[in-house]
Amino acid sequence: MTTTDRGSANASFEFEGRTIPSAAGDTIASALFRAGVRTFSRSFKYHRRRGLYCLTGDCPNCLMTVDGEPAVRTCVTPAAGVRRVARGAGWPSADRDFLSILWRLRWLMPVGFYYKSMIRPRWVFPIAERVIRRIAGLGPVPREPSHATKERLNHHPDVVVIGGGIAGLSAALAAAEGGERVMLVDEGTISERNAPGALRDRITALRDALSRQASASILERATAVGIFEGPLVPVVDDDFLHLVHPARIVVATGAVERHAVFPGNDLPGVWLGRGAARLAGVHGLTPGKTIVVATNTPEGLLHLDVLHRNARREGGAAIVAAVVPAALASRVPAGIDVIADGTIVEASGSGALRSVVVEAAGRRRTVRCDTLVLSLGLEPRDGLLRQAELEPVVGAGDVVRPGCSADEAEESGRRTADVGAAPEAADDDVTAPRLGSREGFLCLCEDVAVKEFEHAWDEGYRSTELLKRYSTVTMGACQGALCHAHLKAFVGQRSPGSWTGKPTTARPPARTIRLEDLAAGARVPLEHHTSLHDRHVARGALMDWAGTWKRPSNYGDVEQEYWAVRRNVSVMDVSTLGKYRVAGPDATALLEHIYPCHVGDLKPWRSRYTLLLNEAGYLFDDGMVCRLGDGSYYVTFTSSGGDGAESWLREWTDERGLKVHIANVTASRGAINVAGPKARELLSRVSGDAVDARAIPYGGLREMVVDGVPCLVIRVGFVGELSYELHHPSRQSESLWDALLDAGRPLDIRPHGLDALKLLRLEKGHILVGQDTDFDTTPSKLGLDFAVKMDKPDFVGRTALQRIALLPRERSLLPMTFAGQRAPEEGAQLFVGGVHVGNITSSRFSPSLGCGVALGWVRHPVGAPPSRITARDTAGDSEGTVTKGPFYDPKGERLRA
Amino acid sequence: MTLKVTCPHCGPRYTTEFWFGGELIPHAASATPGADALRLDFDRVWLKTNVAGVQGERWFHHAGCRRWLVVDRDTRTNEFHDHD
Amino acid sequence: MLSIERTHAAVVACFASPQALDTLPGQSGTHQCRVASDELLLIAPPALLGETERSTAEHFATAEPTALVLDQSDGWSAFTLRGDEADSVFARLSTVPLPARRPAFVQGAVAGGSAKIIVLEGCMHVFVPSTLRHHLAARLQDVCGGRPVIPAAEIAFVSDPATPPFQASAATPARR
Repeated sequence: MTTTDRGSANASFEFEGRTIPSAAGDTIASALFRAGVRTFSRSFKYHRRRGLYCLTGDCPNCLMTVDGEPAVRTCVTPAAGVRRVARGAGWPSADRDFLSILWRLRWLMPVGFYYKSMIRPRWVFPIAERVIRRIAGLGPVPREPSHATKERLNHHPDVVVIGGGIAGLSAALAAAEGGERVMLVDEGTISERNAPGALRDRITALRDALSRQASASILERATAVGIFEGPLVPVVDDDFLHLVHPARIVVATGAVERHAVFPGNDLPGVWLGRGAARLAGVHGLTPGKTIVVATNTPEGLLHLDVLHRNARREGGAAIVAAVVPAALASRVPAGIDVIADGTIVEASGSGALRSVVVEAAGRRRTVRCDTLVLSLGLEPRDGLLRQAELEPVVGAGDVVRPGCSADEAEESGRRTADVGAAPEAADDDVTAPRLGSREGFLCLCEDVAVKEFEHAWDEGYRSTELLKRYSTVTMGACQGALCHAHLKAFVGQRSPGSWTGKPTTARPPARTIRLEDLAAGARVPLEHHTSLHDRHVARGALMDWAGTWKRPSNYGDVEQEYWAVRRNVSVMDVSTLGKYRVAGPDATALLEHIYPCHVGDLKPWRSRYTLLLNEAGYLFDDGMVCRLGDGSYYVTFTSSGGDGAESWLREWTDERGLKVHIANVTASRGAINVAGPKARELLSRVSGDAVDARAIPYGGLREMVVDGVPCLVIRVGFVGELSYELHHPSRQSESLWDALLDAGRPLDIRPHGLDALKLLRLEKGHILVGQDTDFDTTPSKLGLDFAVKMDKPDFVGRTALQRIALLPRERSLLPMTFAGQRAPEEGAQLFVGGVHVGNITSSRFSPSLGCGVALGWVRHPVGAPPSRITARDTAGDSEGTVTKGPFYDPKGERLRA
Repeated sequence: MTLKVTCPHCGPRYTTEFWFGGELIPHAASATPGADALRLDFDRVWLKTNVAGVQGERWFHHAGCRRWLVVDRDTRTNEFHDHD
Repeated sequence: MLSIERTHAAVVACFASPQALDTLPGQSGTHQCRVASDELLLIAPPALLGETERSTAEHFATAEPTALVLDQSDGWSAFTLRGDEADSVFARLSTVPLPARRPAFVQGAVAGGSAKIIVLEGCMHVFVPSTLRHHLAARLQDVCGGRPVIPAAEIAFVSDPATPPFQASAATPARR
């Protein structure tokens, strides 16, 4: 009873214009095979025909484009639900491929040829590149973004077992019985690989026992991507990118049958034993009519039995010869011709297998056949195991003891749950594969023959790592499953015992993976909103990123917003500012230490502009320090620096062992800036508290109730007009905002956004940290020496500033004006007398001054900045004048009103 | 993501929850005049030991308790130990 | 089974010496969450804000007059995940392992933001800075296939009266 007998065969899919029916339990490959398809792909480099080979998902031969996705392993992908399948390479088709002529031209393309050819003439390469992209590759990559948007799902089991065979299931069961939380993942469906029989029943029983364990979970059709430090095992299935964070890992990924190297070993019709047996045993299809089986293992004899029985049942097929060691000859079923102690030396045919040449007892014999089944040993599928050097990972089953029996595999799995037992060492005593002839493909994925290895060796690439990179062997879809052993054997034979023959470094991903799967759940960046966000959106603001915040750039008319600030009154949402309460016995000592200005002399209800310097003396943020009535402090930082400010405040608290309380109130306090010559008038309409210059002088602050909202009102000067920053509970931002706009209507109020702000502050020559400063900007380069008090005994960066003061200052941020209607672009390069001296950091046309105003870095002789300067941007050169001080209201009379 | 730091308040977490504060550098000597003090300060701020072995270092748990922690880490194996 | 509710809570932040925080008496209906050795968050239904502030001020007036006590209710937004799928939803937005033992207090990254989580039997309250309220609501919808978040007006924060207030250490181990 085969799986294909179950259920109806109503399903079908389209294959290059044909309709292919599929039965229940079919893979895409088995359905295609049943429909007569024998050429499953064209090889990567030479476009040779390739047929089914491994049927375990390890070789590249069955890769096709399925529903728009390239490089799908059709031999392990269920046909159910599939709509359209096509082969990737081949022009005009995989069946009739003109590019197969490349095989005849192989002498033009030896290993590494692309490093040496197409260098001269140089114009050849761009053309060749386009041609090569068409010819080579596994299929076109879809251009449209995928509709599926996977999320991540984190798991924290005690142990994750990768591989659901006997060893894996046993390891998981033993762990669950021991009280551990277990997760088992398998890239296919458990037991689907096995033909009905004792082995499959045993696996199914183990699986059922595991399912009954409450602390165990099983993920099928879930592919482990790799093993990362942590340990972390990402696993991809149809629903999620699972991130598994186990305490320990068991790798039970089994083994792959050994790939044999001889001329014609890649012809359609040559099979690995497990593949042929699976086709017959699970799908009920015979791989061919005349079959030669070559094996030297007991497992191979099992495959022989399966094929034999299938051939007899289906009829029309027969095993014509069995090439086995003499010792196993008696186990071959009667009626099959036995060639004892023989070796396959050649397979031949034109596009498909026709005959094989077997050498035995010094004689060569040709056997006509259309199918050759090879079961010549096992190589561990140990990529994942080798990835995890420092992590708590153990192997179990075939992956550490290839060829072990089912009982040995179960024992090996159960032992992994025993904390005391030493981990099972990988079986080093594996006979290296024989590398026979010079022809024959060593690497099916990249079309590399042994002869090419010899070329590379002659050229000096004499280690596994170098040969791998030069020939690209192990870099294809199989990731070394078929060829890694041969690579090691090749080097081992030429440099026996040398480190140059060591296994190559295994890296994730262990299987082909989609980039979009790795990006699952990571597409959405952190997005902060202020409490006024909905108000801005409702007003039609253009919202844009400002760091991790969304802020209004403008509300539709930047110039009007600008004039509202300069002539009337305007409001701006500045809730993004970093805000902290700093209190406690040592609060003053802390702030004295981190700020270069005086803090201790600040009287209650007074504020001061502050710089933040690091220990190298470099500016990394600015803000304000305010003294409250109870002696504690309210400090602010820029919107982008606010989050990190907490780490800075706490760093110095810890360093000096200070008793300070630091509360981050950035989110709980909103802030609205009321700016303009009529700001005082507006506030008096919404508050019963005094707002005259005596009540809140420049540099002062006070608590006020504004339209019923308790506010800390701080006078600020960033935009160069009379301004009040209203700090208030963020829950009341909207009502405060509405009240201000309402009361300001007769004053022609309108809100302003970041675009206007940047222009307003530039007219005052005020810097934006990060835009006008570099990582190594000191206060004196900015003309901000007034904010640094070197007479203080100590502050962070003081010694550095002393040291830097000994150096001549030959670079400064200078203000400059440009006549005309167009200001130079930000980033424009600056020249004095034809010599490049710097670049512009901020630049805008000033409506008030009627010219361009800018800040820029200029290299100049000490103490002698230039007076004339030229800016060069994409539109050409502009002549400018270097000035001093703020452009607008140089005496600062307006903001000190 | 994959390296884990054990925060004393919150437990083991991936480094993506932290900001790295660098290797421990000695406390600044109190500011004294003189070229020697300037050179010593320069060395202290700019020259790191960068040992291939166990180093003391600081991490700030920004996603959790928002406090600094000091740990020892072997830079060759990424094994963490308590800082003594 | 899953429901996601937007939840109101009163949050009072206390900054004081470890000893003064250790001796703060428990208050009925209030969760005490120790963020760090010198910081404690008191989380309660909004109606208890005044009472919480008052009794806390009373304690510190004698225990540590220089302590800092702030109403931080406006600084946090909370979402309540209820039902047996709550753990799975949380696991889609955070690598933080939830403790098996409940009730518990955990803090770490959720949807990229710095979150505080109170884990109870059958539900969990996830607090993020209020500037990330919209962000977390959107991410919850993403990972739950667009399931609606029951809006704030309808649900108030209710701590199960059967659950006594607990002072949970933040360093609750992830595994047994």
